[in-house]
Amino acid sequence: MTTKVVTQKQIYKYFTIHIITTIIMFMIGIVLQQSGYSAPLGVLIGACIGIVITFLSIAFAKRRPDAFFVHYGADIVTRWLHYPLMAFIIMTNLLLVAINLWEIQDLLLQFYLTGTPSWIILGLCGLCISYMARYGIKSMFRAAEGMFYLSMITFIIIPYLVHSNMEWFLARGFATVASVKEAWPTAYHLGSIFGEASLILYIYPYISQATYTRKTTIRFTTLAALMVICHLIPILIVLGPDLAQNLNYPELDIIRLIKSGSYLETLDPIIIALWLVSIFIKLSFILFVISHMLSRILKLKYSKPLIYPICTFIIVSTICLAQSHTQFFSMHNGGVSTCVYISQLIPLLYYVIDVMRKRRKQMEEESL
Amino acid sequence: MRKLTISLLLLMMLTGCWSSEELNDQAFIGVLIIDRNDDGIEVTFGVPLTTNLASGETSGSASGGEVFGYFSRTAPTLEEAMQKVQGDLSRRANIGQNRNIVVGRRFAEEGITPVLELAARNPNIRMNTNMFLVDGYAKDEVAKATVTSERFFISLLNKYVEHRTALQTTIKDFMLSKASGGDGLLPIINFSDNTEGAMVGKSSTVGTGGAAIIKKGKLVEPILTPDQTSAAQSIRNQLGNYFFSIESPTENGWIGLYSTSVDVKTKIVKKENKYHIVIKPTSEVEAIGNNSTMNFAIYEDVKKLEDSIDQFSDQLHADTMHVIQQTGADVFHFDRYMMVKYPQDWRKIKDHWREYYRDQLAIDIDSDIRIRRKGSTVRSFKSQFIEHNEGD
Amino acid sequence: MKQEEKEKREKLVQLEQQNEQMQQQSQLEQLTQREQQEQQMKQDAMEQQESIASSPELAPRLEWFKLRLERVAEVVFHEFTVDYGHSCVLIYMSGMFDIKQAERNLLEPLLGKVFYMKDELTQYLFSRNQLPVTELHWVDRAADALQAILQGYGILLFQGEPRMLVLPYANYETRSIVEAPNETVLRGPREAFIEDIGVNISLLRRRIKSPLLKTEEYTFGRHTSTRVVLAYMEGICKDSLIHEVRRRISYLDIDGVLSSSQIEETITDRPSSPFTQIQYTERPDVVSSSILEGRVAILVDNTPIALLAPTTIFSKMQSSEDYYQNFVAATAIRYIRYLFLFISFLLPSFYIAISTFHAEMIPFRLLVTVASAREVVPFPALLEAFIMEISFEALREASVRIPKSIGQTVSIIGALIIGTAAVQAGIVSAAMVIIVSVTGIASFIIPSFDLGLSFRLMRFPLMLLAGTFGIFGIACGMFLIYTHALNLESFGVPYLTPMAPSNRDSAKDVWMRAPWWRMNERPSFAAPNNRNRQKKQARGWKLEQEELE
Repeated sequence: MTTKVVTQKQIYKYFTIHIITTIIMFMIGIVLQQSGYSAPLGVLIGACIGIVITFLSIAFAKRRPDAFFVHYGADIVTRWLHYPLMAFIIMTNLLLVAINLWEIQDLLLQFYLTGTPSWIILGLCGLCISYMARYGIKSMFRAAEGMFYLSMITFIIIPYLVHSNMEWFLARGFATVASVKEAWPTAYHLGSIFGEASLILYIYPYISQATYTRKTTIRFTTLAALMVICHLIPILIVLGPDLAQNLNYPELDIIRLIKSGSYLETLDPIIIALWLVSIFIKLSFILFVISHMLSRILKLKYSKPLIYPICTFIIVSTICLAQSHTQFFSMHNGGVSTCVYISQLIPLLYYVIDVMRKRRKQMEEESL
Repeated sequence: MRKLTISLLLLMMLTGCWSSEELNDQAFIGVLIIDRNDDGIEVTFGVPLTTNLASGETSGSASGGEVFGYFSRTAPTLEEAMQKVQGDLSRRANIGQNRNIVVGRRFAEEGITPVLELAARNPNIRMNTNMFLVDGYAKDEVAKATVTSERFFISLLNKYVEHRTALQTTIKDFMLSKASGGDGLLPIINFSDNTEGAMVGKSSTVGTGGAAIIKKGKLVEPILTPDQTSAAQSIRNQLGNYFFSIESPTENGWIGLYSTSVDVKTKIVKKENKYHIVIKPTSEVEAIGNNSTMNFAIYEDVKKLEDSIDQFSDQLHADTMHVIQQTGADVFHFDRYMMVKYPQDWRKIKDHWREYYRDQLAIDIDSDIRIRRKGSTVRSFKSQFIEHNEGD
Repeated sequence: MKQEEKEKREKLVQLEQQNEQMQQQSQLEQLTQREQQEQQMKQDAMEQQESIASSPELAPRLEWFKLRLERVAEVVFHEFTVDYGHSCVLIYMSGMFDIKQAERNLLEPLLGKVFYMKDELTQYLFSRNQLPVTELHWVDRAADALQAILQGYGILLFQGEPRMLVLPYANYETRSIVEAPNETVLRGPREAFIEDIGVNISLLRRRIKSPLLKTEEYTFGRHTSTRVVLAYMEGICKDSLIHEVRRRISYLDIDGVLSSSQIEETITDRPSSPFTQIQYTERPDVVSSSILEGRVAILVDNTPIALLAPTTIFSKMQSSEDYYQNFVAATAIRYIRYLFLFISFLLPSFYIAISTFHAEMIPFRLLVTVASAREVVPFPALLEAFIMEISFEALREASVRIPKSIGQTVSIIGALIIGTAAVQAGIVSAAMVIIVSVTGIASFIIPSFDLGLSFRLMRFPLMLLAGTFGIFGIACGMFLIYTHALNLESFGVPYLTPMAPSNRDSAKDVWMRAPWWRMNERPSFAAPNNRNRQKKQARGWKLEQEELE
């Protein structure tokens, strides 16, 4: 059984979906509140930050392309430092999944399933995610390949359908009103999401044609940034910056404004359903990476049996995460992005120490 | 696989729980009517009565109450009134299908802000809900009106907006900008008795006409006439079919004209330290009636006619803008144009935008209308058949 | 630069593929060694048993046969003597043996001659092969001879000769070749397989006249001794695939193989999945085109259904009609099929979800009509849907067994009862009847019956999910089904190729029916060094014409 099962095309398709799904549904409200007209600029800056972080991870992974980071990390820095750092990374990823799940159930409960208790929705989500994660690394990437065109068409069609509501003169504001200062909070938040592509480091041995990974990174980050901007601009133009800042889910409001014939008016449950499938793929990938890392740390042979317990843990922690929207926001703004940045930049520490060690070794060998 | 089957089997025990509701356990609100009386705010839900529709085929029945039911209650605040109305209904009111809100005059005079807030915050009410005004007590007028050309009253409203017969104002239009928030135009629905307006049989029917100016959520005088409303529609780029007539340039008589759409471009320019909003309507019209002896083949005459049409259009738009500007309500949200083009100057003005708008903003109208087609006949009836004989 | 990069990429891919192949080959070698050892052991065991019955004396052998075949009414022991004094016995089953031919070609010449020595007889029959019978062969183990008798051949025993002649005049009544009852096409061959495996193989041979079409025969079933034939094109079919099929079949050790479904269930990767991973067909043209693509066909005696492995879900959605019609029309029909595939298992759930959870999606006028139609119905939407669906399934199942004479009447009764009367009685609403009938029609559009069956069955859990969670439930259900299908593999080929592991070339045949002159390569599961079906000049005449102009 070969280990190089994930092709570059699959990586490209998967990570595009990975980045787009979270940003478009959850982050656009926050982004517009913080930046207004400067939001597209913020997205671009965030994408650049994401590319830099991912390139660092890939450069580090390239030094040992056939071994898992979880294993050889203990050789670079000592075990005593490595395992706590890995634990931190695992906890951050668990937090990411929990946050995403919380936001999903909040969205669904608020709009569509008002009477249902949240634990049953989370249970169903968790079942789907762990079912896919149990099938191994191939399943997520294959799923993304299959869903890619459908997801892209769904995302692209929304701006097209609202084009009759757009007031084009507002587009001038992107040139006149936008500023980098306003864009910075957005760039900071989104940089951590674009940087989630650095999870490539943990599955690097599974990637075939690994030398092309950097090119693929640029491609998918560009596409994701483009798609997000293609959503931001119509939202700003249709709703105007003042109104868009005031809405919690501007994307949904945009979808409800679709006017093409009275039979297409309320498409939002269908779009939500398609988007939900994409975000399940993303969450099951993160769950797989977590269980993979954990199983390697605990020196288990298979990571499959760990998935159900980890998923249950995540679900329970999601239920206890925040009791209300306000609590959730205060927790989110209190530094989740910083936490994620730290966990993404930890491999940089390893990189530096590794380079220093190699140099010292070389110098020792030369002096001998 | 086995675990999957077990969990799905467990789901069978949960069938029909929680948030599923049968169609027949819900009352779908077709129109929301809000007005104010001496006891507070009165909220009316207009609900189709499906039980009456079920027993046989329906027609637009003689007494409108059979197909549609209006349930209303009064309370000091909007939400309390809604709760009371729900108490009257045997099914749960579902506002997700609602596309129209009708407000009464008195409520508009005292401020429509509660409705705007409710519609924006409630996730089930859509942002593109149309709003209408009734110049009187809304519930009475609507409830006793006869709807003859459509099945339901709300179909009528929807068709007015769809075919651009009435001005379309949605909830979103009041919130487009902070400096001019709460300003807008509300189209008026007329209910006429037997003397004027539509007549089918002997009962009063529904029609459109006029618009009301809302400033900061409150109604201000004057009320725009139907012509001025059409001008407002055209500034908003919503004018569809429009019939009008112009004095003939050659001699007495008038020319009837028809335009299918008017394309309006708006922009802001700065001339000598003063800001001008330049509105340019362009259109291509057809001549549908010639009651003078003007000959469409003579180019100079046609040019003169076109100039008169331009003048007519400029005059109408300018009158309308004058009326609106005097009230200080920036119903077309011209501040957005300024905000995107001159952001630094905007920052200085934005706190007292309405005063600036009323006193200092100049609005220039520059129409460009051409006569595209002159109809099927070459010369007018008058000149071909009547004047011709008079010479004898 | 771009060219270089492309070449680099291709080299990388090739390297990885070579690695894979080397690994597989080493696995193959290990397997062959193990197989050989097992075969050896089997042979030793058998030889021990049969030494008793393999002696040159006639009498004990005859006793042995009579003992084995006692109380078998059809067996005939015809003892005769060839001049001078050579006793022979002809054993056959009447009804399965063509005795007339045997009399003419065997008994006449033998009884007409005189053999002075036993050696002459032996020479006449065995070494010089002078009997006017072709396909003559001999066996020396009694068990084989018994098997031959049971298969309809005749056995000739000679005194003093341990070898026994097998006469190949098996002749029994078979069905004639008729039109395929379950897979009809408008334009295309109409022949279908019958039960006799010899005729079936001949149908294949008539279409593929190449020595590379290999047909390996196996016998399964301790009591049925059913002949099973593996047909494949050597060189086009991957060696590892053939080996895998052989390996899986070799584990079958059952007392009776009566149909191909027993073999199918044994060699399927995941028998508990609702999607079957092996395709079956009764048309020889489908089998031949599959073999030419690199698949393996399994034909079983006494079954007119042939199995094809590996398969993907898209090959089950294709009908042979597609390939005989114009490709534009065929592409359009294919898309209708895909649309109705989704309708067949999503429409009832969609209706339930929308009418109970998302009533805002329905346009107002339609909503009023539907709601007023549903006023009289006492059941919730989910229960109503279940009642209708289950009655429809019952009707469908019953109609399979109805005698043809009253088939028409029952379908009319079904329509009347379930349709009009139920609506008028107020048990179900008219919208529900429409939905159920459209769903029913949609499920018959799928060419492969088992795929349609699995989608029909998956409808019910989806309806439950939709009734509990609305569209979110449908999304979760679809996700689970999608994941399941994604990870299904049929003999190493992922089930959703070319959608999931995406593959440019196979996509031509799935998303549209590419015209024949465009289909230059075989699908991805064919052997990698024999990919080209045709050179790229199938329409070269057109290019010539254009050049001349």
